[in-house]
Amino acid sequence: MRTLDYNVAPGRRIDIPRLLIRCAPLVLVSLLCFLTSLGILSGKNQARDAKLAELRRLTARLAEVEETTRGHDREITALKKAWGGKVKFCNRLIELKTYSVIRKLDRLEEVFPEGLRLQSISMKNHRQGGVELKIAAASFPRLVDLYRQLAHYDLNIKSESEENGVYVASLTVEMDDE
Amino acid sequence: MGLDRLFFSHRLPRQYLHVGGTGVDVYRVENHRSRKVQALPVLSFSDVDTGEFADWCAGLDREDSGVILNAGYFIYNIFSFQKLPLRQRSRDELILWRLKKRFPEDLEQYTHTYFPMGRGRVFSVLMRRDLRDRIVELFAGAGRPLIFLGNSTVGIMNRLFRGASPPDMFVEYDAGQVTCCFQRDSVPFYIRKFRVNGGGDLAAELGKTFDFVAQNHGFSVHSSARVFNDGSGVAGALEAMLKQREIRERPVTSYADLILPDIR
Repeated sequence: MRTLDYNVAPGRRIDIPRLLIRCAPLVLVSLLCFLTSLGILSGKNQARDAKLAELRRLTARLAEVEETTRGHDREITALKKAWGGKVKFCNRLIELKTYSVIRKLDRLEEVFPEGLRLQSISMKNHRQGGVELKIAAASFPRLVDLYRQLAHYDLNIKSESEENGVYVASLTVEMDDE
Repeated sequence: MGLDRLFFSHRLPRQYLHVGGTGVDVYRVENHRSRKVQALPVLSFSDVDTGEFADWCAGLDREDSGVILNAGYFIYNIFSFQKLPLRQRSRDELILWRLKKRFPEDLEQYTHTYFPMGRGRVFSVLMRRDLRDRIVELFAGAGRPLIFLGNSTVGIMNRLFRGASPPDMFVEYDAGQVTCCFQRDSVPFYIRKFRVNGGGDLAAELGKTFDFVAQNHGFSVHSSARVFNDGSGVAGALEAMLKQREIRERPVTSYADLILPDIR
């Protein structure tokens, strides 16, 4: 049988010392949990602080590198400004130097078959550009043979005519300087 | 409910006034032992005024006090239920309904306290509210805060019915006022309160009660405990009756040590 706690006095009071004694284990356990949580959180904070410090260090390093890069960019810009005209001129020279009219003529010579005569030729002095040709052939099959050879060069036949057994054709071809 | 009992127990006074059938005795409890220090020249609290009571209390320590009234001031009932509701409100309503069936008076005039005892049994205690208020008023007037107002029978039940082998029943006797309470497996199941004139009357009434319990509860008493407050005049008759029925008597400590709380 459990103890019957019969007390009908309206002025009854809580037994504070007994309450404290009974609550002490509860308070101690709560305190222990609190301190443990605090310790765990503190450990986590330390790790977080270390990572933050590392992040700050890396951010500072990145800022330094960016500043150095900006300095280099400024130097490059100044150098470009100082040397830009000269470089442009040199590039132009290089471009002109690498372009060869002779090479175009050599290539025409290679594809020209026997029995043809070049009456006139005109071309622009440029890396790209067409070549206008006027050709005289002793027979039509030879002319056709030429057409076959020039087919790769965007051949455009402007006119064809025959006078006294000689076949004359005006044509243009596109021969890039490759 | 269990948690509040575990944490919020009430402070017990060290000074108690026991209101018995022969007068008011003052006890002090120190180191879990009781000591009778004084007897007040008053029979009950109902026939003194505040001034008189303050004079009588002049010899008492000015500290928190407690009052223990004998069974004559209370109405006891033990109710049996198949099952008690778990919800406190429903349980209160059910027990009050059962109490009103057995005690059809205005319950507003009483303070009602009940204790679930296990096995669906509930011990109910009623005390007149005006008596309680009067006692509180007297102590307030005498400058002694009253922090305990208890009951002798509950104290005896707490002491005797706990433990490994409690007696089957006890008889509380205080100047003609008798309370007998029966237990099975440490759960009280029947309580009766009556007045007697002399030992023969006591033995006869107790014999009837034993027979009633045997017939209605199927319980034969084999051991009993006698808790007497000045019952020297009736002890012989009780002993003879118990001997005739072959009921062993368990020795008990003094009456005061049984009724006062916090005694070891």
